[in-house]
Order: sequence, then structure tokens, then C-alpha cells
Amino acid sequence: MSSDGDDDDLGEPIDLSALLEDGDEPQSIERDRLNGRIERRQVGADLTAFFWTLPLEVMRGFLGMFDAPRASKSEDDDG
Amino acid sequence: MRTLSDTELVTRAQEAMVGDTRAFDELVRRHERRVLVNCRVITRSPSSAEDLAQDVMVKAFFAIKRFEGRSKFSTWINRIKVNHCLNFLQQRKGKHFVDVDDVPLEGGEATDRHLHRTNMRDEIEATLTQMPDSLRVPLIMRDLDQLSYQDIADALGIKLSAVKMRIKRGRSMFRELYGDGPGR
Repeated sequence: MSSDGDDDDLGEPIDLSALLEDGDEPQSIERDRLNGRIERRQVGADLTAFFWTLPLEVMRGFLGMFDAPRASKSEDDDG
Repeated sequence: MRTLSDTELVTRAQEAMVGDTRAFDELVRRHERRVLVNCRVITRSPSSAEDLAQDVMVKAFFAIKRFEGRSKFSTWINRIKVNHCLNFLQQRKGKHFVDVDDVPLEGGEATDRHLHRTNMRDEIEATLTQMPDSLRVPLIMRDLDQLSYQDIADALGIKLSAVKMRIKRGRSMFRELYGDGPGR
């Protein structure tokens, strides 16, 4: 079985193949949930990619929306 | 129709248009059972296995375009799976609980081969559950996944000699715990 050729020194391999037999546990993953997760992450990746195509000023403006309270306070302090 | 190899399916998945997941779906179908079983026995958490297997497949989907084919697809997805399970174990440290029924089943009367195999499966899983992560994980990677020692060393970030030592000790401990174990 060994591709490395020296399993003899490490004891006989254990036959764990029975683990792959059908049992009470699920043997396949829920496909609808997987596809849903892939689709949602794809949308997120697309939005991120789109964001990086925007002009710098637009990106700054967008990021500024999340930073508004601190930015306005800073302006007051300076003024 | 001719059955496509994993390599051919990977190429198709890499070239597929957004939204066309047919080739990837077939790869999932071929490998999901092994991924699920591995996630269950590596983490000893049947309740988390489905989520972990889902995570592995999502990661594989978004990384497949970068897969260069220097190893087999099964080796590559194994690596993702092991890394993900190890991260899970790392995060769970300190709040570990055993959530599998590790009471050996009584199979003395059973003559049905399928039932016998199912009992054996449960007993193997219960035995693995009793082993520490440091021995159980390399043992599964070697004797279930048939990974090379070097692949195991790379995935676990330990030396080749340490991998061999752990596998030797793991096999020995497994046999001790299992009794008349399923050696070959």
C-alpha cells in the first residue's frame, strides 16, 4: 500500500476503510445549502471586484459613509 | 458517455462560466463522502461534520482556479480539509466535549455482513475518538487517505521523522484500544 516503501518499520497499516461504509451518519452534503453558500459568496466577491474598479474619489466617498461621525468631529476640532 | 477523470473535471470547472457549477458538482459528488467522514473522525464532532465539509467545498470552489494540478485533486482537497479541521480543533481547544456515542455496540448475534461492517465502522470510530489529536490525525491521513508521509508533514507543519513516529505510535495505540483490530 505504501508509496513511500517503508511502512514495515512503522507497523502494519490499519484498515480504516469501514469508515466509508454507509451508516447512520449522512454520507453526502446538503447540495442546496452548498449552492446557496457559493452563490452568496460569489455575489460578495463580485461586489468587491466592482468596488475596486470605482474611481478613487467615489471609493473614498463610499468608505466615508462608515466613518462619518469621527470625520465630522475631526473637522470641528480643526476648525 | 465517457466518464471524465478528476483532472478533466478540474479543467472544466476552471474554464466554466460564472454560475455553471456542473463540473464542480461532479467533483463534489465524487469526494463528499470521504470529506464528510474525515471531518467527522478528525474533529470527533459529528454535529460539526456537515458544516465543516460544506466549508471545505466552498473553499475548494473559490480556490479551484488557482489549482495548478501539481498534485491529484483528491490530494489537494485533502489538504484543504485537513487544514480546515485542524483550525477547527485549534479554535475548540479548551472547550472540547465528546459528542459521539462511544459505547461499543453488541454485534454478537448479527450475521448480516452489512450490519457487521456498520458495527465495525462504529467501533473504529469510537476507537479513534479515544486517541489524542496528535496521533489520530496523522493516522487517518495515512491509513484512510493514503497520503504520503511528506504530504502529511507539509499539511501538519511537522518534520517527516515526527510524522513517522506519530503514525507508528498511533497504529500501536489503535491496536491496543481496539483489541483484535482491523489490521491488514
